[in-house]
Amino acid sequence: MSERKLSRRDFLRLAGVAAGAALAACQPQVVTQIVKETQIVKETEVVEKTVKETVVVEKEGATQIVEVEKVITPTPRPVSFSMQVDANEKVIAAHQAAIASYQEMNPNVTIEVITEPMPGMDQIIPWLAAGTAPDCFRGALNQGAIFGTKNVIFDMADYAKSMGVVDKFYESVWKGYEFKDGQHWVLPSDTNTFALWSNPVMLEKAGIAAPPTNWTEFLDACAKLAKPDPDPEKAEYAFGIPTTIGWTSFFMYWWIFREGSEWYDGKNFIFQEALAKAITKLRLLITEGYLPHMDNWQDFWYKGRLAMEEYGQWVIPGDVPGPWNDNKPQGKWEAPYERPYFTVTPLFKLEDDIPNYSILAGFGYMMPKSNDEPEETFKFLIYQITDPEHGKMWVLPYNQLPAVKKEVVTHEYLDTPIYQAFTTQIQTAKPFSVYPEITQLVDQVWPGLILDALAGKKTPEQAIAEMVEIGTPIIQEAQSNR
Amino acid sequence: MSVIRGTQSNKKRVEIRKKTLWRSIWKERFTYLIIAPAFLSYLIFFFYPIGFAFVTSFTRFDAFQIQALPNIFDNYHRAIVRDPLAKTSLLNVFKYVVITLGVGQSCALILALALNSLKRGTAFYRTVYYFPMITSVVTIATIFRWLFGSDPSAPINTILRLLFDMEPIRWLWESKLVIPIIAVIAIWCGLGFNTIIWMAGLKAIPPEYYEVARIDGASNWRQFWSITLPLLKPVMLFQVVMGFIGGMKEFGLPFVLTQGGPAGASTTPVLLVYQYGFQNLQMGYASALAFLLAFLLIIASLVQFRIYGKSEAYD
Amino acid sequence: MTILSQTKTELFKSWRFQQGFGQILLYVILSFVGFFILFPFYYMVVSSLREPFYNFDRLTLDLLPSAFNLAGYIKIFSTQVPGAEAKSISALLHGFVNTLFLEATIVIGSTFLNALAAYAFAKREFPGKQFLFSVLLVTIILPGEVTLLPKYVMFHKVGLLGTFWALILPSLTGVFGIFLIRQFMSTIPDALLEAARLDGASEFQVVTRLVMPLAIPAMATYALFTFLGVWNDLMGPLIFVNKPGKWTLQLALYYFTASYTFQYGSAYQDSEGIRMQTLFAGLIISALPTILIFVIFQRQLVSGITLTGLKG
Repeated sequence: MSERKLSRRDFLRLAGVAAGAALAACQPQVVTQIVKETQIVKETEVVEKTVKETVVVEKEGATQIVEVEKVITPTPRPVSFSMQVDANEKVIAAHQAAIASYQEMNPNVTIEVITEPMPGMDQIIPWLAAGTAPDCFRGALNQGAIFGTKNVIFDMADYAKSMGVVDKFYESVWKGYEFKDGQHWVLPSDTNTFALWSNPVMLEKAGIAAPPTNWTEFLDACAKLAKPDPDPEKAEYAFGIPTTIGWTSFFMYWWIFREGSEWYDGKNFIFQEALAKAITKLRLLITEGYLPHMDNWQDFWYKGRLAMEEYGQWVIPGDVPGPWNDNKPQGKWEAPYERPYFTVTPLFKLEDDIPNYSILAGFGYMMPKSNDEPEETFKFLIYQITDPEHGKMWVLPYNQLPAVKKEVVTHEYLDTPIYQAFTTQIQTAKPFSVYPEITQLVDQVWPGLILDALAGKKTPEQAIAEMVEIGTPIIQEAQSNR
Repeated sequence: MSVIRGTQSNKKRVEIRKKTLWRSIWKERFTYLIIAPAFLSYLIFFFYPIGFAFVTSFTRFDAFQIQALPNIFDNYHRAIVRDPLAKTSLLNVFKYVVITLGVGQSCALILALALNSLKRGTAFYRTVYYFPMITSVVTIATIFRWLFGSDPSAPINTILRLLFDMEPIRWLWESKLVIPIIAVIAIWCGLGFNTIIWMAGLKAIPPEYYEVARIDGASNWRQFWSITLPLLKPVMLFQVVMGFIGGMKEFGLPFVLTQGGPAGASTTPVLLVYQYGFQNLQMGYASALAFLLAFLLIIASLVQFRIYGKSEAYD
Repeated sequence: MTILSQTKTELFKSWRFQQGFGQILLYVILSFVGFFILFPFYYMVVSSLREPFYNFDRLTLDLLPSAFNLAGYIKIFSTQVPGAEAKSISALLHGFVNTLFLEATIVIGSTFLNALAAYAFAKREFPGKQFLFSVLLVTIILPGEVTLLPKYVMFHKVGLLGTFWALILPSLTGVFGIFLIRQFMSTIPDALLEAARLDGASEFQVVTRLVMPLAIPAMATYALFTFLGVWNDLMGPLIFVNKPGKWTLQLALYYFTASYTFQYGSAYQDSEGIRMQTLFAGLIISALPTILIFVIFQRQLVSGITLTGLKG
């Protein structure tokens, strides 16, 4: 009998195993469940994380110990900022739609609308001085130049780059809003430019096949066309070039140069002979009688015959067939003559060595430094500008050209020949940089001199010499004020 | 001995004067109370801002921060010597004042003479002439901007064309015409007001003088020169001084009408101050311009008073 | 203007014409001048009533009204404050109410305070009177436009920006008022005041019960001028109280008409053909109340101006 008797050790071992097994049989089952819970976390914890916790739950009558994995997804913190919106019903409605859909996607964001008519300088300056400005407001490019150099508004170049939105804009527009050292103090929202309006009926009568695409063709066409009747009510003009409203501007002025363009490099005037040549050419138009008298720009009236378009109103309601009038012309006012349907083509350059300075106006958003949420505000502005649905507001109700490409924001008007002419023009425009002192020169000093030159009272060279003489102390002061 | 006594009595005199001063101040405490609101208001809403502006006129102030200038008088130097726009604006406003005072006041005087000679209906005409004064600058500017439009269909051009077969004139676009036109509009505005003042002055002349003159055989013209004009001197002084000061400070009309005109041709000094301040953000310089203008006005007023041989007319 | 002066020079020579012919000539000339004065207003009224799509560019001058179209006026009265709820009162009426409120506070407050101060300078002697008086004079000469920004910042710091206080407080006193009323008060005989004091009246009672009622002509004139000034003030509300709910009448009209002339990015489109008509209607509406008040109170106004001018 090699019977081994169970040693004590073995017995203990067995007992232990048995006890363990018995215990195990009695214990609740450990179940791993993944439970997603969201918790509002402090700002510092912005990363989604998973934590394991054990909880006791009642399940099927038995108490169980459950290990739970919690995935904590941080909820974005509340953000709020205010925004100035033009005091115009349709504009307000469009903005509120954009705000509503943005807030739906980002429930943590609250945007307060401040309804003010587009603020002028004497409103913005006190705003900025007292820190009461809305967190963003729409203004013009030259305002950005003035405030940016005083360091009271944000530079948005970095935000744009990091969000990768730069190539949504027309390159010429994006570069056109760039300042000396690459700053973007104004986020482009909408812009406007020139085009050439032609009366096809008259062109045909004179045997001109197509609207002119350069200066030589233009002169030829003018010579072929009959001289306009001196009685303005009877006169018919074949061409129209957009004008701007205001004391200091007249259409030819913009054709020659525009704020900050390459005749001033921030330190000196670098007028080129091109400027004198341009003035001479325009003078020719007047002496040959191809141009009508100068109108009163600030009380612009649509002339009907003379296709001079009020800045900002691209579409002549009723006179150009398009979706805005069901492709049928309707007279805006009763006129005793047949209204032509104008064709619109891009405007040619006066001189080959003058670039196409034709971005007529730049508007966009500025953010004062009193804004504590510049990045969030920027995100919303980009949304508003580049969203296919809401970006349309720049076409209607704003009646402007969106600063973003056609592929980003489409609108049925943009496919019409008229708008196509404008968008072509915009894309070939040369960017310029804006200096604050330019406004003073362009508004207060130079138009008179150029007008004198155009009227023949001075030669272009004399006018330019006087421009330099009067302008030099002004730019010197401005430079020392920087 | 007398010296010592003299000093002592001097001291006493000073003390007594001081005591009476305090006493009279205390006696008039009610008076001080009632003028307090006025002067307090001035202090807070006028003198403080003006003081602030004055101090910043010696600095480079761009509405957001104050920086020191290399030379504290630099702004003033610039205004007087270096800035072509300051000079042109002064010339502009001077032209404007000459026209409004010369033509405007003469017309008002003539009208006042005419109205004075009227037996009845004076009140009616007075009311009519006063109409422009009660409308706002914006209204007036809008009307005249339209009336003086540059195209042939503008009302005034149309009238000229129908009457005289003239070419349309680019009224507010011609640098040489802007100031005269603004002056005409200002004259149109102020005609009622000025006429009334002249009428008051005329009424103050006792009619006996004219009786005596007529008996003496003086002609109407002679009466006018020897009696009317000399006796109108106080009114004339008032009109010239107030007209000059008010005219030199003209802002509203060029601002709304032309924003400074074709290339600064209708910019007045105060408009320039506004532009430098609120468009170019050079507020320190703008303040310097403003104070220079004020200085000029003070000197001009003093000169005018001296010419008329009178001191400050408000006592 | 030259033709006019020539005729006037001739009138000059016979300026004391009392005979019938002279009178007729005077009437003719004065009416001529009156016509010039009123013509712009007349044409404005006529233009505001033109039919829709009237061509304002025509080369003939239609001096007579061609229609009686109130569309412009209706549009002005019915346009609401931007962003307001439907069925709220129109922007114009709202502005009207705001302006009335301002008028009431400013006119009453400043007339009273100015009269008080005027009394001090007219009837009391006190140390520093000369000095304080010349201080008042200085305020005429100094240009007020430079005070715009400092005032703005000051109001902002005190939290009064965007409230009507920003307009009321600075307006409560004015040099013009003090001068005008003082001029008048100095003609009140001192004996009256003495008598009242002997009867036991306190200074305050003397001022309020005796002097002020006597000075009512001057005070009324000042009140009228102040009323006009507040009514027509655009710059003040524009800078200091520029919230749509607090627009004054002038401000509301300014924004309304500004959208009719060029405004960057504005979406105004005139499909009803009443653009100019509405503009002019707005201007007339803003001027009408002042004109009415003037016509009613013109005697006060004229005597007030006379008071200022005479002493000068």
